[in-house]
Amino acid sequence: MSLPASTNLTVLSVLKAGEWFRGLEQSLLEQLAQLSVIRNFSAGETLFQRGDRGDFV
Amino acid sequence: MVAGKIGGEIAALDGGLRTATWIAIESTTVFAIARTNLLELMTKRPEFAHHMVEVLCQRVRTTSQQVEDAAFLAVPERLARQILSMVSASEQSLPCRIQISQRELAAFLNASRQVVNGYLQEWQRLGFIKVGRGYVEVQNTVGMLEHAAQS
Repeated sequence: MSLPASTNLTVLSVLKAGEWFRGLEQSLLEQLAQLSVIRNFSAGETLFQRGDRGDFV
Repeated sequence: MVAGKIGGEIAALDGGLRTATWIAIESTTVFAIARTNLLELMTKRPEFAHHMVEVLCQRVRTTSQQVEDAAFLAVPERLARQILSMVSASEQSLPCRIQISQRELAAFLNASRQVVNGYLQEWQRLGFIKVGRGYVEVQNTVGMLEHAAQS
């Protein structure tokens, strides 16, 4: 299930907390947040599989 | 994997096949960024590309250390270091609960589950960790590392 990341504040807080994007300037974080889409998974659901081709979104 | 972590970055950056499988062990929300959008942002904002190179280099260093550990360290020390790196990655203070099964830990180390279980049970007996179904709760990293080095 994919939804537009309308709650950019939530995305921003996760981006800021993560090791990859921590320390990036705010404008870059905001751009990343705007480019994100939210996907929800239930327990046991596969996000992606080794050997798969294709984009996440 | 804990909140704020990134996955699927290799295929996103090089356009190749996925190098790992990710399965949600609980209800999970991810923020996904399409490869095309990621690459476009790296082109438009070179400082972002530079940042990504730095993070990838850190990953390469970590992987190099793991390869070195696998070649030169015995299983208990590799196991203790693996657990320690997960504690560190979780950014939680002790006691720190890591959601991982013994089978997954064994797969990380290329060891058997029985061997991993033996060391975990020993460290639990010594009070360094607690072991439960699908998790390891770490209470004393120093004790665990010292004991692993002497094993």
